[in-house]
Amino acid sequence: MSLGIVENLIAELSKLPGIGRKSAQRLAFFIMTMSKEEARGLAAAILELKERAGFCQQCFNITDTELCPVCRDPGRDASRICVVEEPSNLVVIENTRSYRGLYHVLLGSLSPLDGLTPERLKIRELLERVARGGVEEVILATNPNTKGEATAQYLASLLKPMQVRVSRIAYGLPIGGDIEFADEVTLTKSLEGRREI
Amino acid sequence: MLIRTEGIVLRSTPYGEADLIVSFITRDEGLVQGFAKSPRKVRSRFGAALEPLTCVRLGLMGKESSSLLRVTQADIIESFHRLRDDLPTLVSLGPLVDLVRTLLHEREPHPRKYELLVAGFRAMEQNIPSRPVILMCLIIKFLWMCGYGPRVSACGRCGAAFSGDFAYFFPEYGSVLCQSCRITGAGRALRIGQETVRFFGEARSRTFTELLGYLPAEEVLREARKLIDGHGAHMCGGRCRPGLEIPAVAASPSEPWN
Ligand SMILES: [Zn+2]
Ligand SMILES: [Zn+2]
Repeated sequence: MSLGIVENLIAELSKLPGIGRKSAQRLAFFIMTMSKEEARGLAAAILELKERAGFCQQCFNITDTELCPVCRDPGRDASRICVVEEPSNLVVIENTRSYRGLYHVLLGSLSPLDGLTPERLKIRELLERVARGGVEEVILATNPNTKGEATAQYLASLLKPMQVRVSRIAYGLPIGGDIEFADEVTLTKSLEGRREI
Repeated sequence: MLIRTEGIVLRSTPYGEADLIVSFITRDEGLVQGFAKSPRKVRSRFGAALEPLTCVRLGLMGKESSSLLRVTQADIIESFHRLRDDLPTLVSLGPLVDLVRTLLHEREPHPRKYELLVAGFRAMEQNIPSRPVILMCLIIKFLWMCGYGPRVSACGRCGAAFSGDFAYFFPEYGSVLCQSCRITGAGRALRIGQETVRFFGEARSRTFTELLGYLPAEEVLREARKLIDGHGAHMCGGRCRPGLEIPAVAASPSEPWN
């Protein structure tokens, strides 16, 4: 047997984020031990995702229908929009079960040191949603790093004149951590964002 | 081999699931590319240390010849987060970061240039109204230190000192040229006034402390910006973006992308 086909699979798997060559090897050998049906199921699921999944017309979440399940759910609070960078961020916020509003996925973030190129992101679509009315609050949940913060500031400057409440998720210390190990920027931001109890 | 030095984060690029490739300008090793494991995880020991513009005490591991070192330690010396927190300031620093990455070399000590950048960032952080001026002076000082300073006080061909109301700067020469030296084919010239010529001199000779509170006329800043843009773009062979102009961030909500 030529090992070329195994090598091929290993090379394909190591293109995935977080998968190095060793992990790819382990996965490839595991796939070899799978039954034909299981392997076919895996391959079919990957293909189906590529062929059928697209972006929600309203919020740019990943979906296989015109509107994603969140946007279709009549029980969600349509007066709140939580803005995230990527569909994977939406998934983790959904997993908290503590948010019942809608989302808007930007599909990226601004890269301020490379110049502002907001047209790459789904910003115009967000502003159009807000302009249509019925939105009371936009929650900016972009990443707590330079790019995410720049994106949030940029969005805030556009949204504030539109008579809508704009909020930013809090910066703070991770729960279960120890203040002693916090870096000065995180600690400064959590002091600035302190609240009364 | 373990290298201990200090540096400024110039750029962080996400890699894989939670890793970063970080480019630094360091005091003892010049430009360095570092690989940091998992800094994007919420409880990473790196915290905010690898955000752009942060000045950090670094531990780097790798072979002498390696172009990608492993970041084993990064402790914040000065976070410069006030520069990052202000979007127009952050955007305006982009061309400087490009210049540093283009003009310096990997694994070559640049202590003076490094100290200059730290001092410039410190001055910019301290004084908000002077930020655009300090940034421009920082760029001018940095260019001179790299041997690419724009020559505005004397003719670049015959050395005749500047006289008259206006000087004509030729980006292709990196210099002003006097009337008799302006030959055809010298390219497009930028006209600058006396005050702007003086500004370039002040930018080079004054310390940042002396520059705090120094506010040249709008016209002078405009001419100086144009000159540096033209000069920088020519010097970097198109690898640097022009645009020292601090952008107006707030736009009208109906047409924000114009
Ligand atoms: Zn949706
Ligand atoms: Zn001359």
